[in-house]
Amino acid sequence: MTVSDLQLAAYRDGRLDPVSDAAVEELLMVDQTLRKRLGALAPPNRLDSVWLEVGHAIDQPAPGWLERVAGRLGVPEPAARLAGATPTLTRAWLYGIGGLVLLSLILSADTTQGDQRFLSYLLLAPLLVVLAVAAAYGRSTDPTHEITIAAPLAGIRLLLWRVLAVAPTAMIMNLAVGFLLRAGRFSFAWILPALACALATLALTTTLSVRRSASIVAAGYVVVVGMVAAGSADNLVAFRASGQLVFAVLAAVAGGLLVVFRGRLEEAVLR
Amino acid sequence: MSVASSDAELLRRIATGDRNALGNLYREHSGWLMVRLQRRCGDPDLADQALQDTFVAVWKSAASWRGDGDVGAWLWGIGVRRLVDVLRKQKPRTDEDQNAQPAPSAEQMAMDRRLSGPLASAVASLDPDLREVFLLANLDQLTTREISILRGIPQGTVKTRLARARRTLKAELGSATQGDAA
Repeated sequence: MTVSDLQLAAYRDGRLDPVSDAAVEELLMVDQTLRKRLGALAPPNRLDSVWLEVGHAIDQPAPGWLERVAGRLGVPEPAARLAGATPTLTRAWLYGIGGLVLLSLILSADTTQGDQRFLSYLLLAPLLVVLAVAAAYGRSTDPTHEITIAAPLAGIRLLLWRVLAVAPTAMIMNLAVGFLLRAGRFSFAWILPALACALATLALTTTLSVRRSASIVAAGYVVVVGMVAAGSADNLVAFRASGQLVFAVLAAVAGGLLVVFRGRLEEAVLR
Repeated sequence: MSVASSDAELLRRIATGDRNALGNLYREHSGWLMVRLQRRCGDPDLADQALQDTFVAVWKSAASWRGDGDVGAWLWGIGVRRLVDVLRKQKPRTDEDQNAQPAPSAEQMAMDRRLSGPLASAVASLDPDLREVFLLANLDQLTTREISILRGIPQGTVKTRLARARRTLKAELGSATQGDAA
């Protein structure tokens, strides 16, 4: 049976004769074209508002156990949500503090004399920044991932905001350790390497997962700087002027790639 | 690429958390689902609520789609049950258990629910009350309980109407085939 537009409108309004009505019902189970034609008769404004509601319903992240308990105890929903989300935010700080303790332990065990003793500090400081970047987003560490996806500030801008929110923690920690070690100007020698590593991690994230990118960059950094140090009489050669220049170039290249492939980063953030 | 296979592709992407895919599936199917849901309950607000619940359920359970058959039929299976749930919640009468019904497979729908030829005209000639219950039971594959919630009539009434519908159809079809043979 072919269904006319008039019949279809009558079906929508429940005015169709029983025989044709049953036929339309049956056809709708199988006929994709008829579905499309009937769909065109649905009120678009209602379809839009239902779609908005679907979005809202999906954006509610599954409540964590803390949030559920708080909710059951009668805590208002926004407060409960905040309580549930805060552990994630504090996790970045915990990484920072853990990193500081670890750094101090390692560095106090280093008995090398002179400036050369700063090598392990300069090796580890950028890694802390990479760790902070990796912790700043990604499904694995973030129960608010669904919110992130749906936020009006979605994608790369949100990611960079979050990196900016977390990275200073790591940087302050690094500076603090530098001053504690009385590293003098070497307290700042890790900054360009850290920038290069962080940008490289973000640039790699356009094709790999955050975790993998951070691991590759961290391992690459340690291996290359370690080899340069081992191959030279001055084990800090990588952090002197020429080395800093190399890091600056690397940072610029990684930053450029990041700008070029930012669209793919946006997709990666949503993964 | 046919519509059906692109729907399947969309579901596969939704299962991986692709929000755009959900948007595309919604654009493709929300219209006819809305109209048809409203035909079932006669109330635009309830139909909208059921449609919303349907796509939220799709978002959460796209992975449970078995990957065969017609996606539209699968969606309808979810939609009409969401509608029953919406009605159930709306009615003050509380039902003790709420057993989750898995959506029937698409090929089952295609095979079981086709009303054609003499059966279609026999169904059309049924008394409206009987026809409605019969279609809900056979086309939408709803249980007696679900029909009773959807229509706001006691389960016993649904059962008697179903039985009467079947008896009438049998008689009609019997006489039709006899008429053909003669």
